[in-house]
Amino acid sequence: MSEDPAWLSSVPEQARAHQGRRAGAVSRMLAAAIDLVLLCVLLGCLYLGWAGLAFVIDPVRFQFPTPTRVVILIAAAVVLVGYLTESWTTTGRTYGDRVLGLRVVDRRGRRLRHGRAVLRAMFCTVLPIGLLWVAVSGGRHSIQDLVLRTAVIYDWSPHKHPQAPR
Amino acid sequence: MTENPGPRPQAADALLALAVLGVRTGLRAGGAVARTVRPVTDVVLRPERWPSKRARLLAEAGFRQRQAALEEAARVYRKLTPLVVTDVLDQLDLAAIARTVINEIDLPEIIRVSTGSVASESVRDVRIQAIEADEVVARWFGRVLRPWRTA
Repeated sequence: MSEDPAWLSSVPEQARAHQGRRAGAVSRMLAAAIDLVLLCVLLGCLYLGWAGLAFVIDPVRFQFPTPTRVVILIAAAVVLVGYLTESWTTTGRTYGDRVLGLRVVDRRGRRLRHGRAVLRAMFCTVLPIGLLWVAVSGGRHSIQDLVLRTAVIYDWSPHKHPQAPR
Repeated sequence: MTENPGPRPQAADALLALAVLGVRTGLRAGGAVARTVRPVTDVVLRPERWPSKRARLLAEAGFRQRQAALEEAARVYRKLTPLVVTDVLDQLDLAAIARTVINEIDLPEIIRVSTGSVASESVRDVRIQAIEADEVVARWFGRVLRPWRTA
């Protein structure tokens, strides 16, 4: 697929030079923060759904469920891995990435396959601090990127076809 | 410093004006005469009423030649037009014209709005500021961790 000529691009002029470059620490952390908020909302919805189901099943002896910390952590991890995997394999970006104009691709600029996306999602869930390596690394790689040979690039284009990282 | 007076009327222009006036008057008078006598000439000058058969044959030959000349002119026109148009288009920088038009109507903005790729100006501002912050952080860490690279 041919790219739009620069003068016909939907990307503003001041951001065009950055398109396809690896994203830096601030953008990625902001995107991660937005995804974290979204995760809390999803968990809240899940909790309300669980409580509603319990109320429907036994309204007389209904009490709000009180999950243990371990259950909450496991649920959060499962939801997060599912959310990240689905986002990266379909559009290449989570909601946070969409807001910040980022896209997760492999080293050749292609969208992640399912296996690598699952591994990356689990890695990000278990070791979120690996994101900080982006600031230290000269090539703007997180630890997950280095291990799984992936990259996060600036990509404001609405197209689904990612471009190779620069 | 004297101002350039520009082109001014000359004596020959008066003659030219007279000639134009004369031609116009003549055409107007001719038109009026033609309109007046047309009912008579339409009847009298019909080919079938002409007294001489030779004159009629001559007129028919002239008519055929006129038709042939018109067809030839149309053929030449059809042949020449693509050549002229192609030459004109070759001399025009259509890409530059298109670019100018697109810049004038701000097509990128229309694309942005129609595709809904970016919700609002504020999102765009946040993205640009984040990119700038990325650059600042990368520069700072680069200076601290890799001072030999920054001359």
